[in-house]
Amino acid sequence: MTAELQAISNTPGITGLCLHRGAEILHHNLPATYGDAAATDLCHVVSGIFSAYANAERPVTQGYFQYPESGILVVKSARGKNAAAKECFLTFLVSDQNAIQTVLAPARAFLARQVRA
Amino acid sequence: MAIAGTIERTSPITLPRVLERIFDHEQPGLLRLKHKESGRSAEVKIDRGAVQETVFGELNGDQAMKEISQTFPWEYEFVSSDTSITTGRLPAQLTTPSGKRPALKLVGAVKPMMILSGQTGPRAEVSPTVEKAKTPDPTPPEPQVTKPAEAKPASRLMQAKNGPAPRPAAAKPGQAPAAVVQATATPTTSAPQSKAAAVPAPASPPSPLRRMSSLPTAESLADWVADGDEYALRFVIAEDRNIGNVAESEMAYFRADAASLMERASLIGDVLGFSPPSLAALVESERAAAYRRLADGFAGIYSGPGSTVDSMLSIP
Repeated sequence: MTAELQAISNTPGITGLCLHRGAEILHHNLPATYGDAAATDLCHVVSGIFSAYANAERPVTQGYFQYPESGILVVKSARGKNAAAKECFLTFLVSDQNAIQTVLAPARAFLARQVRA
Repeated sequence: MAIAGTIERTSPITLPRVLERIFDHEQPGLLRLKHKESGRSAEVKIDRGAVQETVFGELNGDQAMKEISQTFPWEYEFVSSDTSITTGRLPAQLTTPSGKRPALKLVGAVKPMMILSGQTGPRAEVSPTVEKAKTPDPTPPEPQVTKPAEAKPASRLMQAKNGPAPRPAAAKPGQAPAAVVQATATPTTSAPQSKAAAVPAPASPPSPLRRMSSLPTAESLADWVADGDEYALRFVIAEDRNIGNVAESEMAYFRADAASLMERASLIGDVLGFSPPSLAALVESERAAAYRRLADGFAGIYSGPGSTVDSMLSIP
């Protein structure tokens, strides 16, 4: 799993990523400048926001947020057979928007496998 | 939800940043800080966008603030004294002036998505979901109508408490879509320190976005709006003018949705110490929306089924 994530993360324009199930961080390779605490907080906030939209009957599957410093891309797994299971997210730190189109497909494929597993 | 989290020595979230965030809301209240290791606590009273009083043990005023700034880590929580935040009242922008449901024509268009300008590849065709369109609309009753002139802007706190702005519901054949006002979720910024399976991180800091630009104006996007099509509605909502084929009631919806999304994007950015967001996009299975801040308002794209997030980033 880590090798596959690393390969996705190596896409030019991707600075780092977090894999999280709900707010629980499973793996991250964000730049060291941010630290584990920031990665944990990021996953917590992202999952909270997606959950808020889902509760408002807006099941968001992808999100992108652009800041002057960087961009944040979030891809969420489709809901699996176990509806109670928390959904998986890949949250990317993006330095070039051109990378988004490149990572979307492998990210969705990776998450789909996580849901099936 | 309250503004809450942890201030650590190495964290990008600092006390000044927390205070700035609270000031942005222009809500009076109390910032409570707790030093978990020692059990000490501090309080910062905030009103009218400024610190009114600071107490840390026997210290107060600037001396207390200085001592707080030099102590780590803090767990903090801002508790607003504005009752409108805690009552769960929905922001008035979520209703429409006429009381009619926003007639977002685009939602009804179930044709395959077209390629947006700037896209390089073909978009996968999405078949019209006729069966889905015939299913009962789960839309709750229409919201109570409030005139926009009476509307109080929804603060980040209120929006976070009430959940995101409603979406326009999927349209049934021959029927305009309805605005959904169902917002109960409570996202929070306070994060438990769970175990993070960290791998060695790259040594270099994130590089700035290559395609960054200063905020455009509404005027500069007139051509871009005109290039929109029926599958991807483009519009500009600015202080003194609106551009695009969007009715006034629909604009109220987009204003609320954009404000709600930008507030949430700010929450994400705060975690990493980023500046306010310039663009935010969300993709759902049946629709997608992206909003970009302008110098004098915002521009948006509202699209139908089959959208992906990269296709929503064509706003100049």
